[in-house]
Amino acid sequence: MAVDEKQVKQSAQQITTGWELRYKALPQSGLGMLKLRDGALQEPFYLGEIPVASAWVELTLPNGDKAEGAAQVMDDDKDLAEALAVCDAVLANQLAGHDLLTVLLQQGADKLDAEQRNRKQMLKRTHVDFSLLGAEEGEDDEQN
Amino acid sequence: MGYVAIKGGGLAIKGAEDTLDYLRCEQGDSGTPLDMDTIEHQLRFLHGRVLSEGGLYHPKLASLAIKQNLGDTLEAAFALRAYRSTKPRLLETPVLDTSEMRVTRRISAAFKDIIGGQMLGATTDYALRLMRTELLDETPEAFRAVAKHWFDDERPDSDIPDTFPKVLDSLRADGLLAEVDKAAVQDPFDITREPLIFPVPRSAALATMARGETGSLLAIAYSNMRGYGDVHPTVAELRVGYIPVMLPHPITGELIEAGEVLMTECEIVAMYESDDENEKPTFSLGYGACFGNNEVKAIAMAILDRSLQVGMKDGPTNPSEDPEFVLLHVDGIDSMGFCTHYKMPHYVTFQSDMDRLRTTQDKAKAKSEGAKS
Amino acid sequence: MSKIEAIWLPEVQQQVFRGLMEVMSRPGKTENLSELTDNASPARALLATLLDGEVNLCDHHNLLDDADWPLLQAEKVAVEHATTILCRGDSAVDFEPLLGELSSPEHSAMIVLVVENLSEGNSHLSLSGPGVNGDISVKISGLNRDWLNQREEWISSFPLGVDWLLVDDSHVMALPRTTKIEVTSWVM
Repeated sequence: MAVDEKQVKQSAQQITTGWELRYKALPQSGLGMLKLRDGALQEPFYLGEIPVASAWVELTLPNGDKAEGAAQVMDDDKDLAEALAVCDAVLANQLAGHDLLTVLLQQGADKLDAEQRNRKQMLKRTHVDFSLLGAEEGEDDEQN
Repeated sequence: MGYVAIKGGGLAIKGAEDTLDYLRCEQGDSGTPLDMDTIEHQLRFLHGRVLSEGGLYHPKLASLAIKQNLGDTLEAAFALRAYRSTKPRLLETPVLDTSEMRVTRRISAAFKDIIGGQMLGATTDYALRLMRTELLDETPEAFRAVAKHWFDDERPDSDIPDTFPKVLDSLRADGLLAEVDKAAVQDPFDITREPLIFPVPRSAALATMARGETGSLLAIAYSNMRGYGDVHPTVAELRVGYIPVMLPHPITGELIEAGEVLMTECEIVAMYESDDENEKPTFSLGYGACFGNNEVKAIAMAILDRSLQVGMKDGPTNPSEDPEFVLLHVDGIDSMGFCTHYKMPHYVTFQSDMDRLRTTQDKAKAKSEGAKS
Repeated sequence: MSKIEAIWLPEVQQQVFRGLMEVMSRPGKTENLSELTDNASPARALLATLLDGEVNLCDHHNLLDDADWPLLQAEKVAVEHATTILCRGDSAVDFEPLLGELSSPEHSAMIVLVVENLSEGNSHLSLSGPGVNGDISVKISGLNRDWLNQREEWISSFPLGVDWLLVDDSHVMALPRTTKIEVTSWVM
């Protein structure tokens, strides 16, 4: 979801002009419970709720071929989920227009890389180098 | 209690709404409306607090809630909760693990050298609590320059891994922690579906505290720290970062990343104990976690997790060990809602209180006069 | 471009729900659901309206298409654990439905029972009880007598029991557990 939503929806629309779309499951927007394992006693608990939108579609191309696609995304926009489901069908089956999506995928990957670089920089700049504190830290409090 | 139906107050209420909005926009020509990104980035900790107290990870709506409530955290969290109550439940995620977290801050107070190292991240821990007067007249240029120069001294990628193992895992490997029976664990308690009827399992306590009000959790945890309890914790690990939310693809079942959630997690090690005479003693643990970057809340929650474990097992000896006391009083929406309702008209109730007082006074007077005669 | 059957549209489901409220308030009365739903079967219309991902369903006689399940979202379960059951009314009863518990009588089965005809038939019943002014006669065809015998047992410990939604190919009639049924004449 690093890519701009409007672009995803537009691309999905563009690629499937003239195709038929049937809902295998209704596009929905709602909530998901986030289940987390606690690090101390390893028991699962619910940390809270997240927005979830999902869709499952079946496309019928002009030549009669059918392709299925589905998506679940952390968002409250069910139209976005529908567009992503369409993209899923197109990409998974290498349908006509999938190269348009490849461009979007690259954009998304670039944005994720930039975010990753950002976060690494935060870690790098604040990494504590204990060796600089001198040799008096001789106690055996090292953890293996 | 009886509440007087408000007729004729309707206009005043509409006026109050307008007055509040006027105060929000009072700057007029000299002001600019707050935008959602500004609140999320420049008021990061406030934003994270509302995310966790609202119990819904929706950054844009959390910003909106803060904006429309003029910064009132209790009201903002309330607005998020109200929103979530209008949406259907679609699914549960599979059990996520914070060892997959994309960490932006990771420290340990228990150990100096931990695998992967300690990274302070963005923190106010070491700040001199002096007013940064240079921010009084911060210019847009100065503001933009900070982000522009962020990568100026970027070192090569070197040895910072993508994910980091948990400090507790190595304590566990050394046999210093109690064995965990993963099979014995039941489904987590869903506080959005079931009311808290005590006794409740630990998962109910964790879920309640995860969206608990920060100040309430801090005060009760502090009572434990100050001596109304004996937890004596050391922070084994505190991490802040983004945990990927993995959901199964509806067709293939393959786990796909649907998004990520910023969260804070704290694991504390408390005193060692043994369950009975023959078992070897091990460290006891506490756990705290919440949406957003909110370390005070995570640490307080971890302390309360530990104290509640003691209370649930041996019976409470102080308020922080009493699940009923803690869990029924830390929810911000519950507590502020009740507090706020006192402002609603209680005219009839109070009228009857006055009548009763007068009657009682009259009786007392009659009695003392009768006694004299 | 996107085709979606009427029974999955929120506004149609609202109408179906109102019809359901009518028939549940007045046992013995029938509502025409197929004219609301582009001639879909009342059974499917009711299931589409009432079910979601939080509940379960047993399609005891396999009356539904495979394609309906992801749209209904309900969890598929065995008949003894189901809170909604879809089945034909013309065969004898071969299961024990959930009857609920005293503390939660609503944890019981609602049975969508498919019969041949809800307005004409040689089985005559007289209904009385909450929602019925005095008594009302109904004529049905396609309901196996065993169902009525079993029902007597199932509802004998009120508030425990089951609720029925009888459907033919156009109408629905509700028989909540509080309705008293007397057979006045019977030919299936």
